[in-house]
Amino acid sequence: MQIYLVEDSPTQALAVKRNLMQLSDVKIKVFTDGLEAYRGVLEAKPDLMLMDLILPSLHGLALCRLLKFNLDYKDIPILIFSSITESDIADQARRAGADDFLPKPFDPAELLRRVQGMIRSLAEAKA
Amino acid sequence: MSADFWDLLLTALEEGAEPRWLARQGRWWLSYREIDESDFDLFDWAQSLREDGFEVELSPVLLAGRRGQPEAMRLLLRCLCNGQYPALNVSGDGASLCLSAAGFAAQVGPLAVTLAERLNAQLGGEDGHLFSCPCPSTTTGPAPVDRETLVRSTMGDTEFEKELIETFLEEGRRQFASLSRNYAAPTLHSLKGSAAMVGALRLADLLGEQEHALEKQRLPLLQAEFARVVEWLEGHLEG
Repeated sequence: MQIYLVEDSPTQALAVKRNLMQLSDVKIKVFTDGLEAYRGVLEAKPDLMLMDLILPSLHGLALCRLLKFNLDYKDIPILIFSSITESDIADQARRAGADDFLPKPFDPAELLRRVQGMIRSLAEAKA
Repeated sequence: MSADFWDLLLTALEEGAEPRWLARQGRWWLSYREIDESDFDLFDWAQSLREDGFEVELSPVLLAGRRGQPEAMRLLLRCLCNGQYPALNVSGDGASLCLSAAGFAAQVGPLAVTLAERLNAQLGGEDGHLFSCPCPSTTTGPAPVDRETLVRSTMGDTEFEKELIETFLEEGRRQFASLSRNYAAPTLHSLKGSAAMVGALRLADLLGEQEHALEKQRLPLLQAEFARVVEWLEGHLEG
């Protein structure tokens, strides 16, 4: 399973990636730039994406909207996480098409549960 | 650092009663504000100090001098050498002067303590003016890093903890250098998340406040807290 992680902070990317490595048969590719991530998806479609919102070049919400608007990529499950404190940020994420939203700072165990849930849903959809 | 500087500072404060009132009386004062027309003199003095062999940095602290007191300004600039500078706490009533002992050379620390004591004797108590050295935040208050958060982020894996700390320290240094050049919300936001990840919760809160307020004059405060976090994390790595 290929997961794309879009996060420009090396510290946060490392923590999330290490957490997700507890999952079996998972490859994680990290992008530090929203536009770079978009190009990455065009080159090779991932199974799942996790993304921050405040990103260089392309905001996470815009990236999410672009992908969800594209018929070839709209089925990629996207989880957005952010420490933006606006009260409606979760709604904004969902309106942009995100499948899930997790506020930062998050419990690593909770992130893992959410991702496992998305993977299960994917497997059920394929079956 | 000569005792003359402290005597000069004390004299100015004694005559002006307190740092804020100094401004109204047109005397020199310490403030976080944009540099005004004094800045040309300021840079000239900074440059001459560099030529004298001092390592000088100009901080967001504004040094506005009464015309005709270049020597006072020069001496105060020396205080900026090697990052040793008084931090004016402008929160609350804005009248507490916190002299940070962190990074002070041995000969300066005791003078800073003496200054704080003398200022307190003259100005302390009434109206809540407090002068303390070292800054209360360096000796009391919450630890710079919350261990529980750090352990939770690293899931108790000590090797990963080391890797995460080292990554954060590198990222932090790079981002603070960036903030000095460009005090931008995305940088503050990104660093906020990273600080929270390693348990530097107070730093994360300060960065979060600044993400919205964007007050570059607060950068020294952020840098001071980051220095505490660095000290804690490096000590933790050494075991």
